[in-house]
Amino acid sequence: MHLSHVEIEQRKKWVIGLLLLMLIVCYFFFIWILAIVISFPTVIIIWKHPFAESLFLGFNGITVILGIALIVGIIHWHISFNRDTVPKILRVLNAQSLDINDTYHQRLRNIVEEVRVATGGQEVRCVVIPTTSMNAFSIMYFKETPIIGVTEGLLSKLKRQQLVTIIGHEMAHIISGDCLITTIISVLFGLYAEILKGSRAMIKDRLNGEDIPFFIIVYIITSIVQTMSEAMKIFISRQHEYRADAVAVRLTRDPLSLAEAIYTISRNNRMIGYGALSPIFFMNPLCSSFDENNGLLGYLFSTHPPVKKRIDILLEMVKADIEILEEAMKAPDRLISPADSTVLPSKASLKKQGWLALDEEGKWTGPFSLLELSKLSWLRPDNWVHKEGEDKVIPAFEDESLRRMFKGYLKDDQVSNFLCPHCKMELAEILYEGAPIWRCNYCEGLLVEKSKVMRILSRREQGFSEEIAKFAKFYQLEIREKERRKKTEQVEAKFSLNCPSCKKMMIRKFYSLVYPIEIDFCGCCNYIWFDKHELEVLQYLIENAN
Amino acid sequence: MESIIPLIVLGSPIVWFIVTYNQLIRYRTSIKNAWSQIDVQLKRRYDLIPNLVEVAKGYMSHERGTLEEVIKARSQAVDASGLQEQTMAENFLTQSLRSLFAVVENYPNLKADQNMLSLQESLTSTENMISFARQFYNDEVMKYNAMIQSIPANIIANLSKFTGEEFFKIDDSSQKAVPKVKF
Repeated sequence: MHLSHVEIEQRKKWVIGLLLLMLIVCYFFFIWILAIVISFPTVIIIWKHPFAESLFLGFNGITVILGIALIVGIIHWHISFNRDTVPKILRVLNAQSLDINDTYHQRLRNIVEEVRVATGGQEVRCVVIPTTSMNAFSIMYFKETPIIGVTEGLLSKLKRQQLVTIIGHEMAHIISGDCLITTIISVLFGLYAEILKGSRAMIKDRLNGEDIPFFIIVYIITSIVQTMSEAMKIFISRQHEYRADAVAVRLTRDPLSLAEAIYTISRNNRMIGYGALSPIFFMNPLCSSFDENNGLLGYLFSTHPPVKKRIDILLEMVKADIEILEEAMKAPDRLISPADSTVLPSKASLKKQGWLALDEEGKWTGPFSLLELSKLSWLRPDNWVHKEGEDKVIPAFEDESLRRMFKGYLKDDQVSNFLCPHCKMELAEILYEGAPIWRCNYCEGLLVEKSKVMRILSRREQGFSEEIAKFAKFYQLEIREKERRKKTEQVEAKFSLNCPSCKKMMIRKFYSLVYPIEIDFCGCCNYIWFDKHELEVLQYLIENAN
Repeated sequence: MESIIPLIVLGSPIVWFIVTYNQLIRYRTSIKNAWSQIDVQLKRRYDLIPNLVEVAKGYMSHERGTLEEVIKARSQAVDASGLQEQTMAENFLTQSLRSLFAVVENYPNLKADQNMLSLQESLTSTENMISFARQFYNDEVMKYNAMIQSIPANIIANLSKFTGEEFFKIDDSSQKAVPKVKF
């Protein structure tokens, strides 16, 4: 099935009409049953009315119920669908737009463009969810551009060609139009079920004796909405997924890569966001064993097909089996590897002056000329220095000529306006795991925006040095120690650092209680400062946690 | 009431004619559009190559020959006219690019260069787009050709002189495997 854009637009109206009708029918039966349950004792016991007649409530009764169902259904529809719906879904999933300076995101943008060409130019927007788990989703809405979303984990762990096929799969949902059905059904009940569930938990926390009736009402409403959201899943067929796989192969002509991608995702964490939105995802984020059910129940109520069957179908296309697949997956592919910026020392002419410097062992050495100082490997901007013939002892960065010397190491296009909180030197902009961040070339501390931290953490480090492993072991031991102590993320610090951006004091805290790496956080600018090794150790701990 | 029946009998072939004719026209413009999309992607590739050579120049001063060959192949492909000639020039360009990337393997500094990496990514992407655009073109041609040859649309096609479009074929055997820039 390969629909043109005109045909997709035409089909949209039918789909929407059908779904609205379905919603009204659902409400009709629901209210009918409710009416019977309520009227049962009054009608039959008190008035001794015949049972059969009360069951159908007469012609008038049915008309009234139909009217109520119509009104409730249309109101529900109007509450669910307005201009905020797409932003609301994206907010619930914490999805963010692409960062054009990030190499991984550039690659994703390129891939989406490629698949667009394969479909003949289907419009689509792309977003990224900063989490380590692996999944993808697509949503489509009445008049807006369809959206494809990918998690950072997927972006970093899959090979390029595999990513192409995943985008192909999501694109297939869009061009075949079934994406619209899944989106509407998920939004109709799922989104609100989740929001109500959240409020239920909140109310439970604050519950005191007087509020119990209120709590019971909320509980009943949420249960009803949840039951309905489960029931609506019957309308989302798992055939959609098989068909999207088939169209993805048609678009990208690469069944093996798609099989590899499914295989990889099924063996990784794919948990994300909220369960009720699961139908829009590439693979069920809930990882339920129910999906693997081949029987009638699974066929009716499961929204995602069994992983094994999906892979088998794809492998059948290339006449391969699971062993070939596992063999093919061992081939390395890292098209873009993060490259550290190399620091080139410049040969600026330096005047001769006598300097004494405090070395690492606390001894005064020297005197050195400026040229000699620039060759000292251990000299950093925060070392204490002392000019011959002067009494002042100052940190190196405070002297103008020494500052110029240190600055000479940086290329002009790398220099940023931020100053290192330790060395007070300009930070250089570098690409770390593909994401643009700032680094101090002297103390090797890193300044990262809070939103980028998750992005970096979900990317696979190429290999950790032994030093990092050693540090990490030390931290791991400390974890247990600290867990026994206070359950707070705040750390008492002897001195605080100033934020490189706003110059205010930063808060010293643990990254999280599970990973007690000390970081400095500026709440105003949302920047995190990592001292040397801290970010790598954090990456090491997270990657080896599983 | 009775006058409606002959109206339907006479009118329905006319309606059918209009609908089918419009469908054929839609296919034909879609094919034209698909063909121009291929050109757009090829143009993208031409635009990337000078940057690539510029970046590589700084690192591989001993490999003037390879770089010059890429430049030459590019200008040939840009100037080529006619399907036959263009296909040949494209093949030549792909080959020269392939040999350039084989040489790049010997220069670790160049391979790690950030500009080079992003150029490689753009080139891979463009190669993919070219092949996807050709694939889409062929799909559209297939749909159109199938329609003008099948009954009853072939009557209209013959009457209004709709002729079949040609598929995009790759003659060079080395190109049959998708031209992929390997890094």
